[in-house]
Amino acid sequence: MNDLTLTVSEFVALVNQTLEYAYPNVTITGELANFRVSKNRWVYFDLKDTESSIKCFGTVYQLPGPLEDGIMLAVKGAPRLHPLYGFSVNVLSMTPVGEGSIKKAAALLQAKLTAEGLFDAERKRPLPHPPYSIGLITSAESAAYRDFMKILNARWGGVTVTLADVQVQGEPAVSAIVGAVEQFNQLSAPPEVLVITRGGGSAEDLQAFSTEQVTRAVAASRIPTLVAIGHEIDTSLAELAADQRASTPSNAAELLVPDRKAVLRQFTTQRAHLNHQLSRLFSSSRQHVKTQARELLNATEHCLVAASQRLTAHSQLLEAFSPKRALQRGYALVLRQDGRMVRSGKQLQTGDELGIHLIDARLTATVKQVTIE
Amino acid sequence: MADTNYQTLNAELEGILAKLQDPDIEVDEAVVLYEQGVKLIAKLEKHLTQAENKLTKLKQNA
Repeated sequence: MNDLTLTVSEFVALVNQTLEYAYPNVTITGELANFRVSKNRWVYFDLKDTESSIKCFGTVYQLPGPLEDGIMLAVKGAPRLHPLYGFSVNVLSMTPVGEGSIKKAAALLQAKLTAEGLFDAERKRPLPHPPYSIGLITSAESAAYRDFMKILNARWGGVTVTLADVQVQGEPAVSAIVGAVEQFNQLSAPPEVLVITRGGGSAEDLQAFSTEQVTRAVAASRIPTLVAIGHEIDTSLAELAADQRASTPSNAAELLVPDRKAVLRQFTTQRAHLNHQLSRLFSSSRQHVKTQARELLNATEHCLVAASQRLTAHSQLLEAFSPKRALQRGYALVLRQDGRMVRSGKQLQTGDELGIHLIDARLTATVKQVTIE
Repeated sequence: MADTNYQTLNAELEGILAKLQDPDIEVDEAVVLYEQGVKLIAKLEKHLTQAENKLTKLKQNA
């Protein structure tokens, strides 16, 4: 194959054939430089290290999120020689690598989604407490799944949990999680709450939960969401987009359902409170009745005293009309032997015994003669 | 007459007192009225005493 004479186009085709045969695709790690987006569709950038730099070309759909020069990227792509613009790598996928770059990329994405309002407090919906049904998105093999179920069942019973068994790290995680969220949302009888959870891990392990796709899927879920990722200090973007976040899978279960023992204790307290209220009501009613009884007594007594005073007055008045007054004026009372007053001479006969009352003496007399006038 | 209530007895007594205040009243009638008045007062006093006793009993029970 020495001394080949080719046209330019023939040469380009030959090089591309050779490259495609030798390196159908490669993953190259390097620092992002000269990043720019054209027509909202095409992405151009350089990937470089201390000594070399290569051009890369892709579309915005392959972006893991907003990027910035200086970020370390792992770019998977196909090396190509472009007929006009020279050598470049046609990007298939790109991911930030290394703790610093992952955080940087996440920070950029967070700023973008924050500006869009995805994390606004007003968007947060309350979760049903306790829910009747839960859609659980996690790996069936994980400790997160076991911890969540253990705490959930220990605290409360009777909740239907539907598991979407997904990979929670690595490349397939993003589309698996997004797919599970969408599937639950499309159910005719969707669960009352979606729980997306996994245990702690390195920034790279947890990367799926800070991707734009997962974060948007969580934010778009019509079913209220609870996202609980690991024990890390840093919060993933999916957690920020969720209606509620929890620190661990166990914590998620604790937030979702009350502790039945605590509820029972509360009932006891409430019962005691109710009893107390009732006895207070009784004693205040009793007090009221006592007061009323006293008032009744006072009123009656008052009535009796008034009656008694009136009677005394009447008695004195009557005394003023006593026959004694007449006796004092010199009249005398004439009584028959049986004590009845003599009102008429017709009542008397000669010889009748009479009693005569004077003011200061009582006399006995015998009728000598009766002359009717 | 023992069954008659306080109000009726009192009204009767007041009637007697009114009659006794008539300046033209006969001595005999005055005496009769007086006797009736004394009897009524005795009855009224009895009524009042009974009422007071009843009240005292109720007070003790309260």
